[in-house]
Amino acid sequence: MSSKEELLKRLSDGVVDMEEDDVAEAAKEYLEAGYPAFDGIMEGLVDGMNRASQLYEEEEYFVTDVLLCSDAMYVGLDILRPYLPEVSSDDKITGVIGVVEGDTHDIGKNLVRIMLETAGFHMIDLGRDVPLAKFVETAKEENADFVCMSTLMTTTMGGMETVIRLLEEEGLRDKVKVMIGGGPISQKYADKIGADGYSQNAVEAVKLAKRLLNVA
Amino acid sequence: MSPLERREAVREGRPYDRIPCVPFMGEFKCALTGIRVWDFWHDPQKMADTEIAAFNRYGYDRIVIGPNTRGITEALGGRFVYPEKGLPYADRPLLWEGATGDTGASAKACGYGRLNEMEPVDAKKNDRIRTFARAAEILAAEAGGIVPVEISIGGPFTIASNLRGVELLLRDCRKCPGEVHRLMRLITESQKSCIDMAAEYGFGIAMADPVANPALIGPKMYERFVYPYTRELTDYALLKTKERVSLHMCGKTYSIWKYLCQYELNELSLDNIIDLGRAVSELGDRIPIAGNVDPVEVVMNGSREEIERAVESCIETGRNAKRGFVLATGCDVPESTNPVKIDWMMEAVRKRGNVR
Repeated sequence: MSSKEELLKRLSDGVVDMEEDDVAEAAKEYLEAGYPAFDGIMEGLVDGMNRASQLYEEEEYFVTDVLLCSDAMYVGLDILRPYLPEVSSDDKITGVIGVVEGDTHDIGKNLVRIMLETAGFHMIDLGRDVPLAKFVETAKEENADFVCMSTLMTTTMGGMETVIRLLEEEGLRDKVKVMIGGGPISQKYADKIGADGYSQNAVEAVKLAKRLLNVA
Repeated sequence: MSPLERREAVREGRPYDRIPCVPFMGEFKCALTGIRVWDFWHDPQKMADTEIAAFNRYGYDRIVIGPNTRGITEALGGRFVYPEKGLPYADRPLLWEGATGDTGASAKACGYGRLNEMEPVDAKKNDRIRTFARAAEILAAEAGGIVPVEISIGGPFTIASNLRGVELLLRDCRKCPGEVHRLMRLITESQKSCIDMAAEYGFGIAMADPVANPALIGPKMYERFVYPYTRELTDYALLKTKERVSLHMCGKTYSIWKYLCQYELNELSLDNIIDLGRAVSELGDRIPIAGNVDPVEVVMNGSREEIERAVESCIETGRNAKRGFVLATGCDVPESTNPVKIDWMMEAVRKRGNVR
């Protein structure tokens, strides 16, 4: 039988190497050996995904690769998650994420969601072409700590400002951080509409979220 | 000088009045002329009228018409949604079978079964392409002697992403590369048929392949899945139309420049996030360069002075390109832009783009 360290390494390597079947096999062996699911996720799967994002940042990996790494990670998560002790989601920092109304380009948003989930945030993904009021409603219902919006198109970027105004009207603006991103978006635009931050890619988005929400 | 005279003068090394200028107008032309986006994509007379109206107002140096990525995707059976407000967007991809989940996160099986029944587009027979051919016919008669006209055939990898879905296509490049190549072959043959159509009207070819971008696929994948097909298309276009292709590439493309400069290009037009000076020094002796005024921060949001400064700065840098320079925007001008901004841009080129 493999040691815990060996299995964790197989989980992590399987994610980095985009090998779903290896991850699934290692996850099952890991559970059969009686090791805690939480460590398998954090020190195996998430470790692998962090290594993948490091490679992405170094331009060794591209979106093609990161998508397949995340597929492998989710295969492992599906196996290990049922064995986690019950944790109330209140303990986690919650974010609402989506592509603003009128736009259907969602790869960037999906990558940001994957990376934020990997970093331990509880993410509520509203998908693409999301009605602007929906961001605000969801943030209120879920008692969210932050809202992430993206768009690739100049025609729809104005919606982000509307969401910020709606958050103000609802009296939520002080307790909800707003992060934005996407092709035509810039720090200058974020400043202009009063968003709390802008990030250029998914790895930066995680750093930004941690900074805005004071997470180590 | 008319744009056509200017182009001839540039090519023959004779004196000419100013640097050529091609702002990318996209659906902004619809906002300008009040024509519905759906009509602009489906009614040949309205397509041609829109092009002529925009050209008459601004006097820029090239008219570009479809089918573009969108028209060829539709000609192959793909679907787009044309909202009353805003830009058209790709509907559920055609080659979806075998895939599950909206984001495709758990899609494993390759779903290319339908590809077996698909035929390349025949531009002579395909109804969707005939619409663009009729617009080309009108423009050949109305504008042919005045301004260069190009037919855009879009980009093969972007068409593939419309037919398959971007995320699935990106996964397929690793998981089932053979199927991606089959799809790319079908698309390339379809685009070649559209090149034949352009040749009939004496028009050149424009291409843009936004999905074949290092933000999505790395240089290795570009070399395998995009370069061979784009090479084939640019060679074929030169052979058939006797004109080189105008290629626009979005995004941070530095890592694929080594491929881009190998194509037979009339110009490589670059995103506004690209350092134009670097393009001029690294690519300028291989291919003509076009670029790269920021369409959002400068054209849409900028003042008259900011537009003039940006135009001047691009021209000062660009005019050092050994194989030639065209002033362009770094991407499409947003449709909500005030039309007077393009007047200002053209004015700045006339003022600042004189040839020394």
